[in-house]
Amino acid sequence: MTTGEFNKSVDNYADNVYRFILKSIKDEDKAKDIVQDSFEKLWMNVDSVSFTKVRPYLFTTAYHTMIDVIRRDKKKTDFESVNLSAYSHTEQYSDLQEILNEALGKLSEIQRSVILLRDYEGYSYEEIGEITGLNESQVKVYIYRARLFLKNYIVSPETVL
Amino acid sequence: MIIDRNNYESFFLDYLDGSLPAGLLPQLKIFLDNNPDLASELEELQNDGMMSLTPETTVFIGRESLKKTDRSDSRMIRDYFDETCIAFLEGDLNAEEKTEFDQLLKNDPSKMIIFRQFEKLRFSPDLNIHYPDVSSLKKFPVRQITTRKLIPYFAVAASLLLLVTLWFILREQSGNQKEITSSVKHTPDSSVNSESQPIMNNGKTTLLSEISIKKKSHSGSKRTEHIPANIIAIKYDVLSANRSTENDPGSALMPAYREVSSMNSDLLSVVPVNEILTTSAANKKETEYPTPGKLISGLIKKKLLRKEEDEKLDIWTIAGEGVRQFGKLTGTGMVLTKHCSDPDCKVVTYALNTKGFEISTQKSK
Repeated sequence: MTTGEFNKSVDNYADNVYRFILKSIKDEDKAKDIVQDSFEKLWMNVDSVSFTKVRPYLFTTAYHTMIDVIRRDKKKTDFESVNLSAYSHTEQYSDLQEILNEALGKLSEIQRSVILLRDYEGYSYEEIGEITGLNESQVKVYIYRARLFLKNYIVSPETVL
Repeated sequence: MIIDRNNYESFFLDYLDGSLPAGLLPQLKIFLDNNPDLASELEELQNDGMMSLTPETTVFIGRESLKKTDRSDSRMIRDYFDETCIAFLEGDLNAEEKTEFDQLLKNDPSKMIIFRQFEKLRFSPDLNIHYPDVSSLKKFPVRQITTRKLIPYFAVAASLLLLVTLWFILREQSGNQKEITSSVKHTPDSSVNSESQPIMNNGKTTLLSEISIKKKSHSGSKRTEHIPANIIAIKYDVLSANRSTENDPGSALMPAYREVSSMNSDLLSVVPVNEILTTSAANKKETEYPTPGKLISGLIKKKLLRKEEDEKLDIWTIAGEGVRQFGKLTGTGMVLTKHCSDPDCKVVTYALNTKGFEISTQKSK
């Protein structure tokens, strides 16, 4: 990949990676650092990464860096231990997106990541698997469980929707 | 094969299974007659039925739960409706399953409501969120060039410097003075003081106390400069003249060019001393004339580089000044820099910096 292609990648993907990370960890400074880190890693491997593979490379790098940051900060939430009904709420919300964002924050990192990669970037199960290091079936299971969790989070659909 | 007490078991098993060849039956009968103990053993095996096991009747209770159901089965879609909704939205259903699912939704409005809830669970990116400083992530190529590649730049810089220097010289020569006359004021012996300078004139020692120089400015007005002898750069010419006269007492002062501008910047840079002092043709060849190269070098050092005369002048300094002047003229801020890259100065970094770009190279000593 040439320097020009690298800079084009910055234009094309910096915002996407930033949104993905920011939505995942809700910390602007850390999100900026992770994005910068990812592009630095890309620059260090600019000779070995082809332009066509830049997007998954960036998301993979950003994802793993984010996981490292989360682990370091010990803010991990174990979804498996979450009682779905415990997150059911009775408050009235006028904005579904607001509820969904709240629900998104309740997901485990891995579920949140696969959901965002699926919805934000439209990645296939296989591509998400490559980014997150999971196999296709695992990705599918995480997405299904996350969707069910989100749906159950909105426990009173008639009041919300 | 003959049946004996060592191999009878296999014959017995074959006999009980009914697989003993008919040709061996008479032989077996004779063997049993001769061995009544073994004949009773065979009879027991036949009667007790020890050779066959009764099948178990134990069953696996959860057998039905292990069975797989065809995904397109209506029951499957009904029983796992939530998952089917997700699968539909994720595009995991085939055409047949989609049709069946659509049919189910049409027939059951309550399921349609649930399906709509799933539909709204998808996230969409907030396009108003941008990375704050995208340009900081970009990289710009830094060209590593060799010293050889810098040679054309040095050549251009040196040429420019030469032109600038010549321009300075010509401007100063044709600038302030149009007409110069000089005269030497001799002081009587009685008025000899520490400021007077001894010179030789036709074998006689004369004390030079002052030189008067008439100057004509651009406006045409004339004025006279009186320069005390001890201030003028007389040291070079007169001392050399003295030296030469010591060697050859009959000689006179030789013509020489004397640079006095360092003493007084208003004065002409080169003064023809031969108009002032009497000369002797015999001493001309012994005179130490400053060559044009030395004059130019001196001018470059003093006027452009602001360096002392005894300081060494290298090509890098000249080129650097030339480039700096060029950068100043063109407004590009172009400069040449050189600095040590390590404490021992074994590696030197040469760089050409401008406002727009920078090129550099390193060279080991």
